[in-house]
Amino acid sequence: MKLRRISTIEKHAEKVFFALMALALFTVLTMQFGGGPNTIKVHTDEGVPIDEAFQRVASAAQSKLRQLEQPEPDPQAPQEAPKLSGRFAAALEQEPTEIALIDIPLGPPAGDVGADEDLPPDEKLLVELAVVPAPSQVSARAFAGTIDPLVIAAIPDVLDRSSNIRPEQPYDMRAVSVEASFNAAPLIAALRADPDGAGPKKPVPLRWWQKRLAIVDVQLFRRELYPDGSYSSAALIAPPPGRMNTRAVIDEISDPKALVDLINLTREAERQLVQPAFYTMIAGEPWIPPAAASDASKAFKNNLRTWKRYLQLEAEIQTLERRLDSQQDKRSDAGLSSLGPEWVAQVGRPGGGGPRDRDRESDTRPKETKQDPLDRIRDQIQTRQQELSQLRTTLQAAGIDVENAIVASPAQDALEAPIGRLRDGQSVQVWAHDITVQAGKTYQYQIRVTIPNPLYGFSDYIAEEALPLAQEPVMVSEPSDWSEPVIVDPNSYLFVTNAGLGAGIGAERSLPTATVELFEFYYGYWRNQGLRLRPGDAVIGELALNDMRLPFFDIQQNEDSPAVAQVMDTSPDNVPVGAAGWFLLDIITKPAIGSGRGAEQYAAIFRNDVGDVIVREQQSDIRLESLQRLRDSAALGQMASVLDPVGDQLSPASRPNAGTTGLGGPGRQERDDRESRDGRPPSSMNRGRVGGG
Amino acid sequence: MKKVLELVKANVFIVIFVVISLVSMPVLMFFSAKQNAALREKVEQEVGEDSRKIQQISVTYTAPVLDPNSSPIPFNRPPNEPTTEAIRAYVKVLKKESDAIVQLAQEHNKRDRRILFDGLFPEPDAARETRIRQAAPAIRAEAHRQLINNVGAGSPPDAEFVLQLLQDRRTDMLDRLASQGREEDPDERAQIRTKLSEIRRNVYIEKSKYLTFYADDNVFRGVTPWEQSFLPSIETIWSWQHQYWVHQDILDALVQANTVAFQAEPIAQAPVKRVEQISVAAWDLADAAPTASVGLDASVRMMPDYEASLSGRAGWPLRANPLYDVRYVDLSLIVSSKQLPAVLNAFSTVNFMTVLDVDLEEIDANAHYAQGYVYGPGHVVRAKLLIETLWLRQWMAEYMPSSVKQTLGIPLPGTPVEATSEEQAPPASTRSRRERMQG
Repeated sequence: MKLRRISTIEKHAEKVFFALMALALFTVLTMQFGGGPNTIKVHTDEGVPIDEAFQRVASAAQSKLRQLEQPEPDPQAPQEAPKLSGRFAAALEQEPTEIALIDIPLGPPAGDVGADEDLPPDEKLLVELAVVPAPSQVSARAFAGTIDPLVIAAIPDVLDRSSNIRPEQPYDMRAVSVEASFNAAPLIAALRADPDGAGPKKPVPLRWWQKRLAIVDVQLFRRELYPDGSYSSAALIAPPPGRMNTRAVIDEISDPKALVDLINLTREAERQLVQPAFYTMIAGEPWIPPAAASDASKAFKNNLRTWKRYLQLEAEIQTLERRLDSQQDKRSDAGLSSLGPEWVAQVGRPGGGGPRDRDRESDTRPKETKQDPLDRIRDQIQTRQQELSQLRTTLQAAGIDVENAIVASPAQDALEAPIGRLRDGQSVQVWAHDITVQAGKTYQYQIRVTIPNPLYGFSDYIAEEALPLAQEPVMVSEPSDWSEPVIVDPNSYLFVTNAGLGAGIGAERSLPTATVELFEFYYGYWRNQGLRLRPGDAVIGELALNDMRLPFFDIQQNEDSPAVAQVMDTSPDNVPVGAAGWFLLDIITKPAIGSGRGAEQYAAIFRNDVGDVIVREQQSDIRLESLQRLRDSAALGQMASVLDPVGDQLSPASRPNAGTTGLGGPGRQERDDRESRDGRPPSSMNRGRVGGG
Repeated sequence: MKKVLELVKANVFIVIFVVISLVSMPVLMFFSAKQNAALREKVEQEVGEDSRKIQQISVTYTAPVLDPNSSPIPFNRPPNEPTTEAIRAYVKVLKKESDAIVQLAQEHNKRDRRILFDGLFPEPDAARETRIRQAAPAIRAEAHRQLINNVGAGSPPDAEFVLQLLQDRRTDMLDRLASQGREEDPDERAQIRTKLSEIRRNVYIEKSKYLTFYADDNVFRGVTPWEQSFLPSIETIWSWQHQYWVHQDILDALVQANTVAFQAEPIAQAPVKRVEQISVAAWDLADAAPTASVGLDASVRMMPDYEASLSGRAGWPLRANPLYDVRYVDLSLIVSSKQLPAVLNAFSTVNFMTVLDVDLEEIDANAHYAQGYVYGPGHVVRAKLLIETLWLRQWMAEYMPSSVKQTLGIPLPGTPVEATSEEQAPPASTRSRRERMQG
């Protein structure tokens, strides 16, 4: 058999096949590893690896979410609206700038005709001076707060003048502010009117008074209302130290130029004279103009209630979030985190052993009510966050700076309202402050305004009969009506909230006891403390400030630079308080007429500091409106915090924290504590307030 | 070839498998590539859709501005509560500011206006209407007399009084000479003449010292006795009322001009020496046809109309203007040429008044002196001014009679507004104020 020769093809066929397969493999491997990744276009980005595409989208979504949830407004959003009305009002008041500089005559002088010569006048004006109408709508309001220590450093006379200010920090002070409305329209009408029609008397020429119309002083009169219903005589109250006082200047006016200087002065500082700011306060309810006090005070309290709820929600959300984290950690530890809620329900909770009692209970409920506890917590968080968001909107609309916990004055509109122009017959709201009030007394107030005398300086043109009218440089208005009585709070309040004669027989019998609630004004608010007293006990206790760390400031004064305040110390936990000289003498039963034994009422008998016997009944005391007011103040004092001292601000509208109140909150307190532990000053101190509830 | 076929036949399966193996590679690669492309397209589509939706989460915030010459600057961003709140707060403050400005403008414009014809406006008291209309001309005349009195203006000494005074003094002097047994010689006649001139001059100067400027109630053009056989209509009386307010503002401005640093200047030193004429361009309200309502919206932006006026401001009847009416006043004054700027400045301090035109004329001060007018030592000229005064409709409408409102196109309560637009453009057929005044 002839051997068959193996052809070349046969001989190398497998090599060729192998080579081709190797080439194919190489091509596949090159395509897999050597070529570029599989890319697509995502939005505007070309060449995005396909495995990163969804990641890119997720990243874009996260970025969008961050922008959605960004806590700060976009920087492009306008931060502050221009105060155009103020500029407009100022422009209306301003003298125009000279429109041309033609201060040269266009021709030769006409001669000496009319040159000022000393000639005896033949005809003079017989004029009558209008009566300046009384200010109206007088309202007075007592208020209290803690004066900024920088104000005291700048105006130490406040300590001497005020009858009730605490002599050292905190400078708690009580004062009364009075507001009235002075309407210029009747005055202008009277000045314009011809006094006797066709008779010889003439109206005061417009040019004598039109540009002179201005309030150059606001006089505040006070009288004390005694307990027997009688009054003291009216006394003129001097403006508080550090506030504009023109009385000495008015007394020294001896020529028309001095009067013009005074008018210029009062025009330049009109608000300081007509609406003087009260001293800057660092703690206490904001100062509110008396006329706006009623509405503004209600709004302020409503806002505080909303703020309280806001803080409560924040705390609840924090608690829920902690619970959620804790539950998630537990589930993660049990290896159930990857399971859905339906699996968790089937295999039971970490720890095994089947469903617990609580789960069994839940199993008895309809199936559709079953919900994963984590989802339930998330729902609760979401519900609270929604409410929180609504409250934030409400608070911001009400002028509360939620981030910095500052309440704008509820009477901001009144503080910034433009002052009316007398020459246009508008009304001007005038304010005055009395810091010389004494604690526990009742006062009434009256206001008069002083305006320049339109005849002063024009004696040469006035008939002899009318000359006496031109002697005084100013005219004082008729007095306003007396305000409603204003009660200045006493230094402390005491309310009997419970009393009993004791129970038991013989030696086992317990002693009669009275529970009293003692209030003392401290650091801007009334602080309360309950005391249990037995007959013979002095009414003395200690205010528990509950670690509020209310700050005391060290005032550093240099000649070259304004004084600065630094926190030197914080308040002690307890401050001794008491109704000085008061003792509980006895507790007696006061039978109620027509009632059974159960209706017995008790009365506590005290001896006060001057030896009088005072009977206080529990039933009457707890119904007193003042008790609720003081309790409200005490509750507010727990929430409020202390503002940074900023010094004296002469104009309420220009104050950086005009009429503001600092608010505290648990969240902030925790932050402060944390920062304090780190050796850093509390952040709230840098922001302008320290302490808090 | 034969050999190859033989080989293929001999190894048919091997060849088939080899071919399959070799062909499958590109085929599979082809399908793989196709599948890959489909996947890429699908993913790109999904991602693109998601991405588009994310990009669409955006709003345009636009904060308005009060300045009509500025445009609001919008910006896009995802909706964000603090930003929305910031814009809302900003708009709220702007609204408050805007309202305050409107209020201030109205108070500035309204001032302490007095209604002369109490009981007639806006709607007449039926029981008193006839009586008030009968008394209106007298009330108007008296009000203008009071106006002159109030500003401390007046006339020079009465010529007859001066003549009588000089004659009396001359008689006294001659009597004194006669008592000395002498008669006047040429020297003494000259002395008497000089003395009488001095007396006359002193009388004039003394009167000028207690006047703000020279003016009497004849300076008000158009304030003339009512000589018709019928009573003035409500529209006519409203015209008188409005004209009185214009007169009041003009005189107040002139008083301001003569008051320096709260002190009144005597005529000799004051800028305004004499008011010769105040003429308010008349409005023919009684015969004018009603105008289509233009609303009473203070927020409408008024486009300047320089055809109508140098200031660009114009109102009824030249063009629709829901914001204000324009009244023009021609004034003729004798003023110190040196202090003319003070006069021009004074108008804007009193109300919304603008000086549109000033014409100066040389005068012969001696001729005026001959009539008793003493202007002081400086150079004086006659200044003829054209003043534009603006009257905001929002407060004026409170007093306007219904018929006047209809004429001016002010909507009556409860009637729909027919023509309002964001920006009021001048009508094509407007005639300039001067043209209207001329004809």
